[in-house]
Amino acid sequence: MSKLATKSPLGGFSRDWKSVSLTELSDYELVSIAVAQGKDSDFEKRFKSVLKVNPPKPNQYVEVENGFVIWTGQNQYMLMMDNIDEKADLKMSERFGESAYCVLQSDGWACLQVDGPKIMDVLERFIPLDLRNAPNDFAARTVAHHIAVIVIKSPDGGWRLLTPRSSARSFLDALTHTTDSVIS
Amino acid sequence: MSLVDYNTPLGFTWNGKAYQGFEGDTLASALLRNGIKIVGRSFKYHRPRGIMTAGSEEPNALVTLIGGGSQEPNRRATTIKLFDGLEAKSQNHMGSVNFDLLAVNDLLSPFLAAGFYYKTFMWPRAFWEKLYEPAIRRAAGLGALSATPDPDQYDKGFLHCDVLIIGAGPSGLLTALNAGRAGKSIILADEDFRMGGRLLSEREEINGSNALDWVSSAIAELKTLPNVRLMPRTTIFGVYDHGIYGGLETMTDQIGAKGAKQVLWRIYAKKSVLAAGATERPIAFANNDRPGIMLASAVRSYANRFGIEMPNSALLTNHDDALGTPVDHVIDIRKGEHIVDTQGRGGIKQVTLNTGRKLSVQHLAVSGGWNPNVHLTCHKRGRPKWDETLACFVPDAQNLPAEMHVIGAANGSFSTHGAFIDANTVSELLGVKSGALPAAEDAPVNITPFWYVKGNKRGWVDFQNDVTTKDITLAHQEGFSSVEHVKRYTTLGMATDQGKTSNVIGLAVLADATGQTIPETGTTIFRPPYTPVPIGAFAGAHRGQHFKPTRLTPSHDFAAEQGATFVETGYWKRAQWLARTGEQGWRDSVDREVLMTRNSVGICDVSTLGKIDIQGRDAGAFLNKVYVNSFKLLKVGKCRYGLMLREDGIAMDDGTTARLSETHFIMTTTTAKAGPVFRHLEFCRQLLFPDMDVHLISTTDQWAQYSVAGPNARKLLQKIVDPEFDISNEAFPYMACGQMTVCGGTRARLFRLSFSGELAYEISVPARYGDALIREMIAQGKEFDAIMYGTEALGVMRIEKGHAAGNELNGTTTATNLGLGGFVSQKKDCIGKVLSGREGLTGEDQLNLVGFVPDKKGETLTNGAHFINQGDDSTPENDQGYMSSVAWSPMLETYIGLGFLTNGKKRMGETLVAKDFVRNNHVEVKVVSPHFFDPDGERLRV
Amino acid sequence: MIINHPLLGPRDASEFTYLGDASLMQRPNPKSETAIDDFYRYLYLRENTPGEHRELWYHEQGDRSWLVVTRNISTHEITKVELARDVARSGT
Repeated sequence: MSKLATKSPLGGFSRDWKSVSLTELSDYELVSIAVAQGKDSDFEKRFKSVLKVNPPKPNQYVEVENGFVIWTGQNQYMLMMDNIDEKADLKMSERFGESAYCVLQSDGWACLQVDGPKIMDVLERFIPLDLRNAPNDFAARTVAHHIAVIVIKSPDGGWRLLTPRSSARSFLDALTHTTDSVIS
Repeated sequence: MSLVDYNTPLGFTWNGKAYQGFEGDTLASALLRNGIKIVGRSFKYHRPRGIMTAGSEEPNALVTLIGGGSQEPNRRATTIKLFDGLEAKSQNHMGSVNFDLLAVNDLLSPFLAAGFYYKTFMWPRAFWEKLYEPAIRRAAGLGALSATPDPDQYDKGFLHCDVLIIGAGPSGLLTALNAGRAGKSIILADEDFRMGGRLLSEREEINGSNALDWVSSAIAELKTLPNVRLMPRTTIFGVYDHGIYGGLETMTDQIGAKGAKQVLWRIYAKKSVLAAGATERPIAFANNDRPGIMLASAVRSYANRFGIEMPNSALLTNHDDALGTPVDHVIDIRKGEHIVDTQGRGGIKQVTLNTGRKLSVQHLAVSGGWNPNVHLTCHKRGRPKWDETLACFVPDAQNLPAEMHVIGAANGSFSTHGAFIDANTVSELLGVKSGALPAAEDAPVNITPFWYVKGNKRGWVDFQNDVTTKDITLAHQEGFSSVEHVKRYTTLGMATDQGKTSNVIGLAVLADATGQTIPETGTTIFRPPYTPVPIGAFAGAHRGQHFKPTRLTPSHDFAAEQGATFVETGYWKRAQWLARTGEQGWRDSVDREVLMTRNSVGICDVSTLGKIDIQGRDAGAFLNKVYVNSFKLLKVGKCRYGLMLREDGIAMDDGTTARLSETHFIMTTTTAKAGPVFRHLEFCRQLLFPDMDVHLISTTDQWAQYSVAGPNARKLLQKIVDPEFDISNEAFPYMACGQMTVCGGTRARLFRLSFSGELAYEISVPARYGDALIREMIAQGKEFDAIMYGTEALGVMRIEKGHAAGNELNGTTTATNLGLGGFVSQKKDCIGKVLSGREGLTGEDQLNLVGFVPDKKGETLTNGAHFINQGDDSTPENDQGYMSSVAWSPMLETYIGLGFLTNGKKRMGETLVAKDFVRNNHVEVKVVSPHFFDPDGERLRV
Repeated sequence: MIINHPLLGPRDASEFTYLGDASLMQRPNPKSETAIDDFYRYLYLRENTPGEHRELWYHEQGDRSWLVVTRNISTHEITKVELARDVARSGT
């Protein structure tokens, strides 16, 4: 049993402005999956058999059991699993065999769930993309306040934001500052 | 009729005195309501000025708003929405605004004409720098800054729409109704706090009733449409590429209010409709700038929208539209009459006509015609075209920004009926059905062009910059005939109003002087912003601690608890040293950290160095392409130092790359170059070697990485690494790497690398464990007096070992300069290989990286010093190279330095002078090997 | 400025970084006898005429793809955006 305790990037942050709420999520794993050259059809077969769906298209995510998969680049995907398993990349690697290369990314990103009736008023001050017109399976990577962010539309009307761990406190600072400004 | 709410009085202060206005007033209307005539003094001549307009084109009523312990100068009183407690003062006077001591300038006007800096204040030459220039500077400018930090908050945002409609007058409103009803996503923006455009200021009928009823019901309907966003008090100030527009939304004029005062919007619109209306222009004649002289359209605004009467008034005009102004006397230029002079310095009292007749008046309305607001059509380098019949510039339909349509008065359709017709026409072009055409007035334009009165007396053209008809003719006399030159020489149109009421009149004067027509004279280019935008709005929330992001390492909180001093490396904060009680100054701490690490064990957070995960069947071949040395055959479980060149042969970055499996490498880069190297690798991967099976992803934040260095490093790590992993010297020699677990099963990677030259390792765990790991290592290290050391000690130790770092990989040095010429494989090509063999980078007299010590023990070496042979003059021709890194070596008890010396390798033992003219520190130095401490590397391999 | 990414649609230019002319894709043969001269030309010599240029842009804050953007440097109009990898493979 490991002696070492874990520490989430934002210390379990949670705040509710009533019309907006921001909460850090930390029970997840992220695995980046890159398709090996020349192994496209093998990869697709395995993807379907392991995850039971077709791979997502650009600007899209697909739901899988216990998580979802985002399109992150040509022949590159990110799997987000809603449970802890720090060997997730090794397991995925085994299941994809020579058709793909898997890399653990969970610790590199912080995750925030953002909700509330006024959340769009906050996000339009923050994210350059047209989120108000985004389809329900929208997921995209962009930049907000000079910091990388992956935006994922939640089925329940809220949004999930992923941002790099090392600058996460600055990101949260900027987001709470914007929320205060919009709500006031 | 008035749109002001008399049931809601508002108190405000002007120049220290208390007054009352009402909800719906601007500061300008409230001042007029209270009989205030003089609101400021003109820029150069300090002439008393009153309010001239009712809009953002105002050139005279520039005031300073006060609040929040600060002040905001140069605000136009006509665009400030009155709020309770507003405090404002007039600008640009010494003494009171009614009795300005600097008004003497007006008497000196012959010496202050256009270009006066170059003419009047030329002699004696010495007086310019000491007397004239400072005096001119003090007198220049209008309002004053507070010299305190801006207490206001600003924000920025992003909006997307199908159609951006700029202006909410009749044509904009009808277009919004048509397109909104059809389901298009619409943004309707207007600079005023109330939508309706000119309809708010005229007495018109639409569909047989008060036009304001139509405006109210249109807005009410638009409010019910979820696809329509109404944005009052939002100026669309700029047109940019590809359908991007800049908008400035003002939430409040109050200084220091809660929340954002203004929001700067970047608007992405598929199409835009410019319905920005038109701005009236005056006529220039002698003394046409007195308080009480206004644009006719402003007189009507103040009468109809604000309920302010102006008794005893006259109108000067050359067209029919102005005839609707409520005045007592009409002076119609088309009937042969015009004004040649006025009296009344503190407020107009009398006008003198060309016929000799004199009229006693207290107010004078002036109108020379209307100028469509074409500005935004020119932001993409378009120019407007002259319309002879309308006597004004209109947009050039052949030269509009892509996807922009212009309608209404902005397009020369001056009647309300014309505005509605345009709206329905453009709606069809936008692909939506147009509704029924509302019935409205359709008065024709009857205008006879008349711009200024010719003669000897000064007629004001640009009120804000005090440019008169005489200045323009003078400029032409002095040889400035192009409209671009005349603008800059006279400063016509260069003030904060950007010539909205003066440009066309100025052109007319210039045209007459040159004998050309107005279209032949042309216009200058309109550029964003349409009206001033505060720098704070462009900054948005990015100020103070929000200016740029901060990146924190996994051990940051622990280091902060230990009292670490942090240094900024790009966005990162890194522990620079961790002082202990009793230590005086950073040298005490850094020297101690070096000694404790080299004598026992120290731990440093090296998580900031770039970590790139490289996988693929061709990963090894790919590394061979980007590194000068070979990696394809690197054994699994081994690390190797690599040098990367730019394609021009200059060193780009260095690092170590570890091979975890046949198809899996981990590359490290320096902290600063993590981003650029990744970008370079993706360039190579996608563009140069697109068929290789190689994949890259950054894992810099994914893994926490600590350097553990010193004679006791292995002993400490044996308490951390789980017992089933053998990290003895035999099982895990220098440059080995492997995957293992630590502290009872936590996944980890271990690399036996040494930057310090000590027995050292880098241990890496997923960042979620980073904080726990450093604490555990320090706890387990207590028996060894283990400490955390910072970047300074890290730097001292690598200099003691002669390792190149950022100072040496400075963008000008080659592998040869760095002493790594032999490192470059001759058996393969790599990026930079070909040009590293070019003339200038090879052959005789290359710089070599060598070491330096002061000849006299105890003397200080400084970075950046240049080497000169003893006895030589300090000239560029005698320059032998420069010092790149220096440190006090606690191990050798002397200053040591690394530097680049011409043919340095062949000059061991020589004494030179290191000359530092910046810090005036010239030191005799001896050339030595750069490997000062443990040159044979014995400590590495124990 | 907006770059219409072939896979992701229109994105603000702030997500990208610019490298240089698309001719950087045609890396000269290092084994050629005129290699030094060829590389010198490849790195430093450009026609730089007004009008259309083919430029290399990197989608740093997006999908990290390199793009070849055909852009008129006088009018700023972008007429074509291609995935650089596809262009590199086709040899143009």
